[in-house]
Amino acid sequence: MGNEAIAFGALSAGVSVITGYPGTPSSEILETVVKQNADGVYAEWSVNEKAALEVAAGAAFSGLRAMATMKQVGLNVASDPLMSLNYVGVKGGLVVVAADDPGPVSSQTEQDTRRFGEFSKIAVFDPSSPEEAYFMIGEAFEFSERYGRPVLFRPTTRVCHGTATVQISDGVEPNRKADAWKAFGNVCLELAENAESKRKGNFMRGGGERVIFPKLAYENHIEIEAQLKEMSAELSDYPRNFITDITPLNFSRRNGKGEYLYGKKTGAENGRAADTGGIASDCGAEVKDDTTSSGNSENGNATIKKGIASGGVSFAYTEEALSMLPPREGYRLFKVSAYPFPERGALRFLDGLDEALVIEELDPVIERALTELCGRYGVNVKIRGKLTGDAPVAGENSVETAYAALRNFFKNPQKTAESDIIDAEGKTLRKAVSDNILGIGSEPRKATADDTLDIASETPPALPVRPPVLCPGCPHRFSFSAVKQAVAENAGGRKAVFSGDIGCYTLGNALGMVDTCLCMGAGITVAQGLSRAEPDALNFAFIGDSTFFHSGITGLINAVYNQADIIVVILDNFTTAMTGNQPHPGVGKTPAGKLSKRTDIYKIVEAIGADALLRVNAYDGEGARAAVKSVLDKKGVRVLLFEGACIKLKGAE
Amino acid sequence: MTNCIITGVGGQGVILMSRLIGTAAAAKGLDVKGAETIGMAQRGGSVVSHIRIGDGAKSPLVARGTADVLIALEPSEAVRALRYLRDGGMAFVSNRAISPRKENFDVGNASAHNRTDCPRNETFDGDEVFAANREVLSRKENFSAAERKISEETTAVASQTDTAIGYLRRAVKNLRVVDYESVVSRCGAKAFNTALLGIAVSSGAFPFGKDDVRGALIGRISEKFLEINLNALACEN
Ligand code: SF4
Repeated sequence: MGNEAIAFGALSAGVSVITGYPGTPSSEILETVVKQNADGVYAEWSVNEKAALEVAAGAAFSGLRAMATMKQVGLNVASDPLMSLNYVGVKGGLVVVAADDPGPVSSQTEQDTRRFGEFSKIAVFDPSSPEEAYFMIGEAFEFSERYGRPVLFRPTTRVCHGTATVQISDGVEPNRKADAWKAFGNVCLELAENAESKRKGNFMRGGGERVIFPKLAYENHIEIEAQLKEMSAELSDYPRNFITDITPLNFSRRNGKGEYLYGKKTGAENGRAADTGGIASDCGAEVKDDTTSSGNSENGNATIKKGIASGGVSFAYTEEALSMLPPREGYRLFKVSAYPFPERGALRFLDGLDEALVIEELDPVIERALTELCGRYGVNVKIRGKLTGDAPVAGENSVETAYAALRNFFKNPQKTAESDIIDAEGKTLRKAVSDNILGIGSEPRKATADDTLDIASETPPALPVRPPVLCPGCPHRFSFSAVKQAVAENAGGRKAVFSGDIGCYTLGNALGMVDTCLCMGAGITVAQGLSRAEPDALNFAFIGDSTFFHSGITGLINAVYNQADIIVVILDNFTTAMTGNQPHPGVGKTPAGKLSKRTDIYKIVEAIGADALLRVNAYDGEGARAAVKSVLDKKGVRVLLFEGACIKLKGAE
Repeated sequence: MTNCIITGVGGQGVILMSRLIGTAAAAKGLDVKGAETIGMAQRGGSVVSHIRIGDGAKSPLVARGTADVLIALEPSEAVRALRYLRDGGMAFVSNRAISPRKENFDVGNASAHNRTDCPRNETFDGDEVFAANREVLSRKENFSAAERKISEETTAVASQTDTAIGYLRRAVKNLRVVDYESVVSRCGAKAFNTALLGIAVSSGAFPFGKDDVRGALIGRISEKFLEINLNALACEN
C-alpha cells in the first residue's frame, strides 16, 4: 500500500518523530511506522492536526527529522501553524503529509494541497505511485532540511491506497537520497553520517530565529521569495520533473487495418530532464549545463508540436492512455512532481510547441502555471485543460478520462477492435482497446466472437444501490433510536433539529438524525447558531468522542460561556471508528496499544460547567430515553454522554 | 500482464482476497500494482479491488474492457463490474445475492444489550467493555428483529440471483458460477472468499498456482483462521 511505502521511505530517511490525526486516506502511514517499532522513533496520534504539526515542528526545531500526517481537510486545521512555520523555518527536515482525495472518495471537499503550497509558499512533492512515494519522501526530507523550510507531501487516494511491489531497504540510508541528487550535479547537503545521531535533537536556545515577530516575518518573507526562485530553478532539474520527447517510429496501414508501431522514447527512460535549451535561455532563464545531456536529437524535437503535462497518479493514467491511443504524431511529455512550479523546465517543455494539454486531478495548478508562463514570457502555446473545457473539472481521473481528453487533443480517429498495437517484428503488444469498450464513444459495447450473445441489445438488470450503513449492533443506532423516540414522545410539538459531525455517526443521515455536517467539531457550534435563529426549536448536536477531543471542546466552552440553549449528545464509542479504530485521549492508549493516561470526557464536561450532565449506557434503551426526556425541558447547555463500545474494537471476528 | 478485478460487498473479504493475490504474485517475482476501496464503502457498500500483475502496468486501476479476470463474491456486483471485463475474459461469480442493507431504527429489545456499567477508571483498559459487548452481541436472541432480518437477507435472494446470473451467462462466455451453498457446506462460510480464489487459481486465471496462494495465506492469516482458509483453498468445486 502506498501509505506503507511512505512510512518505510520515511523510516529509511531517518524520521525520528511522527505525529498525526487519523483521516482517510492518510491513516495507515503512522500505523505502519508504529508497527515497525523502530528504535528511537517516536510516534503519536495527536489530539488534532494542529497539535500534530506543532509537535513535529518542535522536534524539527531541535534538528530531528519529523513528519506530521493528515488528510487534506486536516491541513485546514493545521494551517495556522503551517503558515507561520514557514516563516520561522526548521532545522531538521519537516515533511507534512496531507493526503488529497479526488472523487472525493471519503472527504468533505475536493481541495488541492498544491494550492495550499502556493498560498503558504511551501514546496510540495506530489508522488505518482507508491514506488515513487517511497523514494520521494526521502528526497522531501532532504529538500526541507537543505532549505530549512517545511515541505508538503501530498499523495492522493490512489497513491495512498494503491498497491505496488516496492523494493525496500532495511534501516536508515541517508546516502540513497544524496545519490539521487548528485546525479544531477546538485550540491548535496551534509547528511548525517550516522543514523543514531539523527535521532537525538539539540535545540539551540537564544538565537531568536524561532520566535516570530513582525520584523523577522518581513525579513524572512524576502528570504522565502528568494528561496522559492532558487527552489523552482533546482526543481527544473529534479529527476522526477522530467521531459521526454516521443516520436512514432512509423505509421503504416497494412491489410487495410490501421496498425500502429510503437513509439520510442528519445529521452532517457524514467526521466532525465532532456535539456532542449531554446526559449529557456532566450527568456533569460538560466540554463545549467551540468545535467547529462541525454542525447535527444534536435531535429526530432522540431517536429513535435504537441505537448502533454501531467503529475501525480494522473501521469500514470496519461502514460497508459497514450499507449492505448497511441497518437500518430510525436509529442512531448512533461511530468511535474514537485513545486514551486519548475519554470525553467516548463519553458523547455513549451519550446516549439503549438499546444499543450494538461491532465491533472483537482485544481488546474499546472495548467494555470503554464498559462501564466506563456503570458509572462510571450510564448505562443495554447494551453488546454480544465479551464478550457478539455478535461473534467471535478472528480477523479482515470485511464478512461485521460484517453478521452487525449483522443480529442490528438484528433485521433475512433478506433476499432482491429487496430491492435504491434511492434516492429509484428508481434502484438496489446490488443487495441476500442473507444466503445472504454465507454467513451457513443456506441455500446459490441459483441465479438468471444461473446455468446450481443449484450448490447439487452439492458442490464437493475442493480441494488448500496449506501454504507452502520454495522449491525453499532451503539450509534441505539443512541439515535433513543433520542428519536424520546423526542417523539416528549417534544410536545416542538421542532427538533439534529446537527451532526464527522465520524461513523454521520451515517445516521439515513435515519433522519443528521441535519447538518460541516467539518470536524462544527456540530456543537452550528447548533448554537441554529438556536440563536430559532430559539423555540430543540437543538441537538451529536459528536463522537474522538471528534470531541479534536475540536468539540472549544465549541462546548463557547456554548457554556455564551449561555446557549442546546442539547449535546456525545457518542462515546471508545475509539476513532471511521478511520480504522485508532485510540485517542479518552481511550488512554498509545498507537502501539500501550496504556497511557486517560482523559475523562465526563470530568471535562463537568469542569466546563454544563447546565446538566448525564452519563448514559447507549445500549440501555429505556435509561437512555429517560435521560433524554429529563433534559428536554431544561434550559442551557445540556450534555448527554452516551457510552457504548464500537463493535469493531478488538479484532471483531 | 494479467488485469484482475475483485468485487463484492463491504465485509465479504474483497480486500483480503486482493492482498492474497498480490502477495502470491509478488512471491513469484512478478510486478504487482493495484488499488483498493478503503473507507466508508467498507460498511456494506460496493467494494472493488483492482490488481495488475506483470510488467507494463502504469496505472493502479484497470481500465474498462481490459480485465482478464473478474472475481465476484456477489452476482449483482459482478454485473456492476462487468464493464471492466475484456472480451473473452474469465469471470468467477458466487451465486449468493446480498440485498442492500437499509438503515432503520429497529433495535429490537434494546434492554437485552444493557450492560450495568462501563468500567472506566484510571487504568481503564477497555478490554472488559469490549468483552462484555461482544458477549452480549454474540447471543443470538439479543439480535434485534432488524438485525436478524439483515442476516436472513444476506442468505440467498433467489430472484436477484437468477436475474444477475442469467444476464452474466448471456454476456460472458468464460463464466464460472460458483455455488455458494455447496462450497460452504464443505469449506465453511468463513473462508468462502479463499475457496473462490482457489477455484479461479486452479482454472489458470493467474500466473501463479495454489501453492503460492498457500504461502500468502500462511504469511497473512492469523493462526486461528489459517486452518479453515487452507482447507478452503484446497477445496475444489
Ligand atoms: S465501526 Fe463501530 S462505530 Fe462505526 S458503524 Fe461500526 S460499530 Fe458503529
